[in-house]
Amino acid sequence: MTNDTRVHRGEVVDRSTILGRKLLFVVPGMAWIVAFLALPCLALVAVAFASRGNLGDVEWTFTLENFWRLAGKDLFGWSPDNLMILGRSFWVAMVSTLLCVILSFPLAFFLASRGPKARAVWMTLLLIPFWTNLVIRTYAWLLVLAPELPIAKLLAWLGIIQPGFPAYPSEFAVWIGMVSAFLPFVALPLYTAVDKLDWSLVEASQDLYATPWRTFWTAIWPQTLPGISVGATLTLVPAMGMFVVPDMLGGARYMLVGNLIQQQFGTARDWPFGAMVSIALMALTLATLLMAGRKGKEARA
Amino acid sequence: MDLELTQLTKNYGAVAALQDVSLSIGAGEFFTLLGPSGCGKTTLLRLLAGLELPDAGTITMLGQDITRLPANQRSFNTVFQSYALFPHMNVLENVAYGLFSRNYSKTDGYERAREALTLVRLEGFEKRMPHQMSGGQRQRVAMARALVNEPQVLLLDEPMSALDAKLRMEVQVELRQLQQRLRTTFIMVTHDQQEALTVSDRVAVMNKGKVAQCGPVREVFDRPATRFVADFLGTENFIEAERCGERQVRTILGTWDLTQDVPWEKGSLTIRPEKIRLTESVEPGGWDAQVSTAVYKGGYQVLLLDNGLRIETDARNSWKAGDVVHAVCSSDALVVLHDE
Repeated sequence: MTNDTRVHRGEVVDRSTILGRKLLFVVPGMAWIVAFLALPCLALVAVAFASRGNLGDVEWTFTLENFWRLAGKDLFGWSPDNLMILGRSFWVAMVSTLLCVILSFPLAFFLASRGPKARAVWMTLLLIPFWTNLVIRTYAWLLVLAPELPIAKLLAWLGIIQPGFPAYPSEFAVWIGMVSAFLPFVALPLYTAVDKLDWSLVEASQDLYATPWRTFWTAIWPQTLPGISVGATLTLVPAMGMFVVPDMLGGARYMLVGNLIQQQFGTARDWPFGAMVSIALMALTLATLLMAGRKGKEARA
Repeated sequence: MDLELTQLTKNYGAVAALQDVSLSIGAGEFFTLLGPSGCGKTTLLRLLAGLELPDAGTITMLGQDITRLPANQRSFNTVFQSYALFPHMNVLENVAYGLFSRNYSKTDGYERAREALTLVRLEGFEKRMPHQMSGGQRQRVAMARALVNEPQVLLLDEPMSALDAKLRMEVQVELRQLQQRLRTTFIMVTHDQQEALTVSDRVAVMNKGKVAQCGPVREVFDRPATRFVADFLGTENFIEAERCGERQVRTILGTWDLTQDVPWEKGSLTIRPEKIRLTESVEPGGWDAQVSTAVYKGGYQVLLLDNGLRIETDARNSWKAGDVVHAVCSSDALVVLHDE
């Protein structure tokens, strides 16, 4: 046997054969990612540093103008509008995710404690909205929040909105829409975690004089953390770029970064600035996930 | 008596896990609940721990009713079957858990947790995570975590079941020594009669949600009350008998005098395999049998006889299948069973 040949899973092959086979399996997937993810991303970066032509076309002259514009520079000086939109998007995504996590806990425990038949029914009820288009679901909220229906009446009675007006557009309506859109993304992974919860840890905690609160944090929370982090990621990432819900329920004054991007690529026909905002959104999302990942690692260590 | 269980009943749907169980357990006693799986012993332990509520009956500790006192307010601590150590906490944090639940200061709590680790000979393991320890070490962490709270009663749910056979014997002896030293009431659940014998002062043999027999280990072992208890404790010899006098019975092996009154007309006797004595020649009350299988066990040998009885005898004579033996069941070794 020469240096170049070896036994690989009972078969004598040389190194180049193995390499060839590895490539055979890797290339199709890699090619897909390069063609449809890496190249478009590079294109996005390129466009972000180009400028807008008078007719809304892309002129390939390098400029940092889009970056300064995002940071707040405008015709009359500085305005924090664009940064506020980014900040608000971050805030809405975080609050939506948090609300989803909080609401998912009772839901997951409820599901996990049902018998097999009832569980299937409840699970279906949770998933049905999933099969409906997001735009249609959001339209449904417009109807539910209409002036003559209980939610709007209750809010009017509490003095939060004026009587005779619907409960939208408002921040409240955006959260309702966001939470209802993303709740299953958190609830399902959490349910999986709760379903295989090791209850003996809960009992041990109770046996060791812990209050229910302490038992939750030391015996339940660490066990559900993997489910929570999957659900939170699945929610946070799309929630950052969401534009259907804020557009329909938040109104023009409650613009999120998703709407801004849509506007630039659509009506404004300013692709370079749209690309810059997209990159900012991506960077913000990645930074958040990295931070969360590092926190998670610390918590586990 | 210290701990009093009165007519405890617990049902899971249609299944009666416990029926009218009453027991008294003294302070400083090592008490074992022994029985096959599904006999209700674990349910009883969970009622004591406060992890389940009985459907009926009461538990009193030093005269105080604690039946409905939640687990986190009882000064009973449990060593769980799987140990249930918190996987994300190190050994020291695990042991100090119960102390911090009750607001001990950091220094005080860790100090006492260290002492508890010394008690179970785990000094130097403070910073280890549970998954970095062997089964035997984890079991000792679980012991320390429970004992550090100085419980009135320590509950042990099959504490040896995750250990291998060789280690088990060692741990049993250690457990016994620890209990003798601390003089805390220990209540253990097990299905292993050998384990129960090794560690306990008193034992309650349970069957189908009821206490079949309760008493000092030796008494239960030597004088099983029913066929179930005798069988569970490894007595495999049952002899059908007929009463023919106040303390005399007739069996297929002869007419024997007993040391106990015979409460029935027809019933059965039992004798432990090692209590049947082999003799050189036929003795009064003795009988003959042919060996159908002889098993050499090293220190002793087991003879299975053609009349269905089993003898354990020393290994001096090497018996083999087909040999005829003379045997005697001495009257004080014969036990009258009280089955309905």
